[in-house]
Amino acid sequence: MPDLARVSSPPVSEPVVIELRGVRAGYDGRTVIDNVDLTVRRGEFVALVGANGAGKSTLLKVIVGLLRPYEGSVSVLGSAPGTSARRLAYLPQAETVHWDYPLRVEDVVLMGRVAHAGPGRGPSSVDRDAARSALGRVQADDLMQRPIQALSGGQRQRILLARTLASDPELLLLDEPATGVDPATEEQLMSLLGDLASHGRTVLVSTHDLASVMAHFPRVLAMNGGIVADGDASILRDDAILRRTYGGHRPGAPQHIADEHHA
Amino acid sequence: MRAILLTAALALGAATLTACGLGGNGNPQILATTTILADMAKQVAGDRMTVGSIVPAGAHVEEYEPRPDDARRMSEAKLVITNGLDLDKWVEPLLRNAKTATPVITVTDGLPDIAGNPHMWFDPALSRGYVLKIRDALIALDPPGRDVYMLSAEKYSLQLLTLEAELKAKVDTIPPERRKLVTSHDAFPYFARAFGFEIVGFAEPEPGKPPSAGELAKLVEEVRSANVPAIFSEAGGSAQLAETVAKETGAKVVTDLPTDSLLDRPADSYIGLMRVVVDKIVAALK
Amino acid sequence: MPDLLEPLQYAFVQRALLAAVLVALVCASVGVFVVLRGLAFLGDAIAHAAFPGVVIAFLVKINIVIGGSIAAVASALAIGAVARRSGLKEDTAIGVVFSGMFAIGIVLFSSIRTYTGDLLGILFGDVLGVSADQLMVAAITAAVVLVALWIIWRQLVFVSFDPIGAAAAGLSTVRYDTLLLGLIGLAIAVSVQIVGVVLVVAMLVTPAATARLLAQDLRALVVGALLVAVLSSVAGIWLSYYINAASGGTIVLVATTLFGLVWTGRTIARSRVAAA
Repeated sequence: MPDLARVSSPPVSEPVVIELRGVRAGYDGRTVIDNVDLTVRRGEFVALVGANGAGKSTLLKVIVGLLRPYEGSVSVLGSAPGTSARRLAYLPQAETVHWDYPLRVEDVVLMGRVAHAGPGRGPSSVDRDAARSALGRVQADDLMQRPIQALSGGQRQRILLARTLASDPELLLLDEPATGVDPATEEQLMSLLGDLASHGRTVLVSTHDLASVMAHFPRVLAMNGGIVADGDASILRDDAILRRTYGGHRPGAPQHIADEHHA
Repeated sequence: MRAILLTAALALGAATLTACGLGGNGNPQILATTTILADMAKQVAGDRMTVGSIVPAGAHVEEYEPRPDDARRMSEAKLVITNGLDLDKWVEPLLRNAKTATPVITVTDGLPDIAGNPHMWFDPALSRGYVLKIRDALIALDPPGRDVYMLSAEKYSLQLLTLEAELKAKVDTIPPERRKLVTSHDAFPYFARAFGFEIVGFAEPEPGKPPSAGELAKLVEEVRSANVPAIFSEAGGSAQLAETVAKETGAKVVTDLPTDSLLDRPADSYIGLMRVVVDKIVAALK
Repeated sequence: MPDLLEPLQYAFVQRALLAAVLVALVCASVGVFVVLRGLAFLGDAIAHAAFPGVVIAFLVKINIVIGGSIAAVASALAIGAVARRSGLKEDTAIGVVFSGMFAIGIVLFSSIRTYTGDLLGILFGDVLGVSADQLMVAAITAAVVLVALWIIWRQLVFVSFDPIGAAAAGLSTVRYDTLLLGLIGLAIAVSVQIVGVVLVVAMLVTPAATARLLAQDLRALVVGALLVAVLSSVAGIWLSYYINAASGGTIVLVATTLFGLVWTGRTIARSRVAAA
C-alpha cells in the first residue's frame, strides 16, 4: 500500500463530476442545507467536515440521488442524480444494515455486483474475482467465508467498503466510514481511498476526525447548514471558519492549538 | 388515515346491504323453525293465521345461527313450532328470552325415533303425526277455528297418505340391490326405513363438520364394497366431497338434493320436496 | 402398526399431498423474507384482508385460487401502501385495516344465508376437497411465484439487507418491496385451500423460522426452510389420516413441533458449550 500522507489536487482540466448550484435540501419540509454551490472534478479527494446535523449526510444523499432537493440544480457524472447509480458507490452510515442476516462476508461484498448482473443470474466468476480483490484491498481477504454476525464494528465497515469497491465505481461517496474503527485501520482506509483518487476515481468522505483530514485530504468542505468554507486543509486552522462550522466549539487539532497562541 | 376511513365506509356499506337483505319478513302469528314445518302449519291453518319460518328456504337448519331479528319475531309470535331431537337446538336461547306465555310445541315428541335422529318428516307416516300435533296446538290457540282446523288437517293427512303410496310405487321401480344411499349428512334413516333403502354412509360425521382424511377413506371403502351407483350432495352445500368420493369409486354425482329446507318450485312445499327427493333418487339409481 | 401406504391408494389423498407440498414450497421460499424482514404480522394481515375477496370468489363461483389470488394480491398492495403512507404508527394502521376487511368478509358471508357449510373450509382449509382443476391452478401459481422469486432473488436480498445501500446502487426499494408483497399474496392464495386463512401465516413463518435457528448462510436457510415445510406438509397429511383430525391444523402442528425440537436442541447445545 503506497504510503501517501497527502494527495495533491488534480489539474483543473479534469472533467466535472459533481455540480451543484443553489441547492436547498432537507427532510419533511425542514431545510438542512441551503445555498449550496459545489464543483468537484474527477480524481478529487474531498473531505466533508462539520458537527452532527450540519448537513454532511444530507449533501451526500442529494448527490447520490436518495434525496431530491427543494431548490437548485444537481448534476452527477453528467446527468441527473440517481440515473448513474451503477457508476457510483455510496457507503451509508451503517445503522440501517441488518447485520443479523445469515450471510457470509462474500455474499455482502458480491451485492456490490448486483447492479451489474441481469435478473436471475447468480454471481459469475468475474464477480467473485472482483469481490476477492476488493476484500484484499481492505485487508480482509481472510474474512471471505465468515458469517457477518461474527464481525466486529471495524470489520463491518471494511466489508461495506469492499462492497463499494467491488462495484468498480467512478465516484465514491462515504458517510463516516471510519466510525467504530481503530486508528490503525482508519489510517489504512484513508490511504486506500486516497490511492483510489490518485488513480482517477473521485472520492468524497464525510468524517469527524480532523487530524486525519489534515493528514490526507487536499480539499476540505466545512459545513454548517451549507458550505461554510471550501479549500485546502489550512482552512481548518482558521478560527473564523471553525467558529462558523462548529458554532464556537474548537476541536483539539494539534496545529490549531499551536496557532491559537499566535492569534 | 384515508385507508382506515375507506375500510370503515366499506364495512358500513356491507352492513347496510345485509340489513336490507333481512327485515321485511313481518311478524307471523305462527313461527316455525324450518320451512318444512311452516308449510305443514300453513296447510292446516289456512287463512286464519299467518305463518313464517326462522330458517329461510335453502339454508342449512342444524348449523343455523339466529339473528336479533329472529328473537324479535319470536317474541311477537303466538305459537312456536319446533322439530326437536336437536335439529333446531339453537332455538333454545331464543325461547328462553321470549315471552314465557308463548306456547311451544315440539312435533317429534312422543313419536318413535331412530337413534335420536331428527329427520322424521322423511317418513310421510310420521309426518301425519306432525300434522296432528300442529292441529291440536292451533285449536288450543284459537278455539273458534276448531272446525276449520279439523277439516284442513283431515284433508292434508289424506294427501300425505296418497303421497306415501305414490312415492312407494316410484321407488319400486328401482331394483332392490341398487337401493343404496350415500348423502352429505345423516338425514335419511326414516326415509330408508319407510321406502326400503340401505344407508351406506354419509360424508359429514356431524352436520356441518367436514370429514377427516381417514373418515373419507373409510366412506370410499364402504361405497366400493356396497357398489353404490350414485352419491348425493345436498342443496345449499358444495359438491366437492361428493365428487371426490365419486371419482374414487366410479359412482355418479347427483347435486341439489333437498333435505331440511324447502327450495324453489317444485320443492317449495313439503309434498313437492318429497316428490323431488324421490324423483332424483329414482332417476339416479334405477 | 397401521399400513403406512394405505392412504396413498386414494386419489384424493394423492391430490391433498401434492397440494400440501406446493404450499410448502411456495410459502417456505417466500417465508424466508417474511422471517428475515419481520413481516409475519403483515403476512397475517394480508391473509385476513384477502378473506372478503375469497368469499366473493367463492360465491361468484370463480376458481378459489384465482379469485383468492386477486383478493390476496390486492390486499397485499393495499396494506403495503398503508404501511408506507400511514400517519399512524404502521402496525396500528395495518391492524385496523385488516381486521375491518376480515369483518367485511364475515358480514358478507353471513348475509348470504344459504351457504354456511363452507365457511369452515375457507377459514381452516379444506384439503380433501381439492379437485384436479384446483390443483392445476395452484401448481401454475406456485410456479409463477418460484420463478419470479428466482429472477429477483439477489436484488431482493440486497434491498432487504441494506435498503439505503441498495437504493444508492440503483435498486428501487419500492419496486422490490411491492413485488415481494405481491408474491406473498400469491403464496397465501395457493395456501388458503389447504390450511385456511387463519393458519396460513404459520406456513409462511414457522419453517423459515426453524431453519433460521440453525442456518449460517442464506443457502442453508432456504434449503432448511423448504425441507421443514415439505416434511411438515407430508407428515401432517399422513398423521391427519390416522388420527382423524383436520389436515391443515395437523400440518401446522407438525411444523411447530419441529420448531420446538430444534429450538430446544439448540438451547441445550448452547448451554453445554457455555458450561464447558
